[in-house]
Amino acid sequence: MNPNHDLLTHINRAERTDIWEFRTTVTGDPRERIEQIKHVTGTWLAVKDNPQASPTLCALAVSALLKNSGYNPILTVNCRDCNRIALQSRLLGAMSLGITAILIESGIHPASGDDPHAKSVYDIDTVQLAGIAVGMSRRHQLLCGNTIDRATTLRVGVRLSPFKGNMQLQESMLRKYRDTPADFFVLETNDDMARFKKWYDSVYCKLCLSQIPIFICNSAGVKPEDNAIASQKGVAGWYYR
Amino acid sequence: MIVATLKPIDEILEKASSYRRILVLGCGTCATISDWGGMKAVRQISEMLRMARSDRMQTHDLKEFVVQRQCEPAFLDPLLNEIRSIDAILSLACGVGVQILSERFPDITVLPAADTHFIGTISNSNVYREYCRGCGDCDILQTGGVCLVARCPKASLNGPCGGEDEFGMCEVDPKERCVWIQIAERLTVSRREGFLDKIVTPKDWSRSRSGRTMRIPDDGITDESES
Repeated sequence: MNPNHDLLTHINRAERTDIWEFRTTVTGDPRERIEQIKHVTGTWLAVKDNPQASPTLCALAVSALLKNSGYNPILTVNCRDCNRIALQSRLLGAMSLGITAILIESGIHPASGDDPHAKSVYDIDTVQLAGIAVGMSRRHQLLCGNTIDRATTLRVGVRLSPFKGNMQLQESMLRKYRDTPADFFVLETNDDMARFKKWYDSVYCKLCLSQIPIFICNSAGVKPEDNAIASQKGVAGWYYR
Repeated sequence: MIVATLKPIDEILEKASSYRRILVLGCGTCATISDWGGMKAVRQISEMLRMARSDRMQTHDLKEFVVQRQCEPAFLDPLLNEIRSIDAILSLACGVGVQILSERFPDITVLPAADTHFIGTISNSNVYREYCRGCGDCDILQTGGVCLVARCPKASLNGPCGGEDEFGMCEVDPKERCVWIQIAERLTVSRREGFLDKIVTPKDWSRSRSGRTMRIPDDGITDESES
């Protein structure tokens, strides 16, 4: 595998591109975990950022280890744990380490996680963070206006939950991410492929999103080869938990 | 109103146990609306203190009083007579009231009897909701009069966070609907749905730092010197 791959280039060239979620434990040596996945090839690895609002090994450090081991990491960044200064610092760190893709999440609230006494930050939200990341990558500029001397390309992804709550609001979020513009979507579908198909036809195509590739969350072990969904235009592949 | 709740009675009794002469002081505004700051509550707390001390064979000297607002120094003048020969004041008020009492009477210990939570209102019996966080940069016109800073646990200014369930109930409090759904409903009713598609830029939090002192110029009401 080529660790210098660009995600969008990979998507354009490959028949299908998949993302696997990569989690570390607090105590384990991440190198052992990396050794365990040596059979995994041709995929991208999304490194979780303190999942369940519980501290784990720094996602940026793990992403760097993966990169150095020949894998293509996607750095997950949440809005819960850091303010805009620290988040931009992390993105600068990712750029300097040659990490080329990030996945933005709001982050599960501490009240619902493993450390409910923690204070949450939420200085900026996911749309704003996506806009900042795009600005850093494409305009070489920080939010405060300072210029970045050595900016590299970051592919900015966001996690979507289009079937939750109010559909009008979900469409509005999609438009905002489209206009940011985000580079890829990771879609929570609750493994409801019939609903996904309906959403794909009525919303995704209507909003002219077909240029933005989608990864469909697959938590139920749906076999891609059994499902024609993965071959829909715009669907890059699966996101495995 | 400032929403606060009385601390557990055991904690209040424990804190008060080191003092013999105590003024139990109610507050006639927010705390009274919450039903634990008026004279009725002052008498109930006093009675519990008496009972606890009787059980321990301790002597006691309790006074009872209610001022209209503990948070305003001018309202504390009637206390000047009450605080003579007092070891401590048990304050049935918010954290502002406790601090103003401490500033006004620095030689007397002020015991907080309540935990202060937020600026909000009573929705119905025993349900209090936060409505304002005092961020100093109010923009609720855009959101149909709903404050996202105070009412969304993630202060998600551009839309729902994705943590809500299929029915739109909040990730943090599943008994509450996502506040964004309320916003969408209000904007739809008032035909201002356009806001939903407007990208909101990062908020200026500089006006909501802790330890703020706001100085209003003598010749106007604008705030130009907040620090």
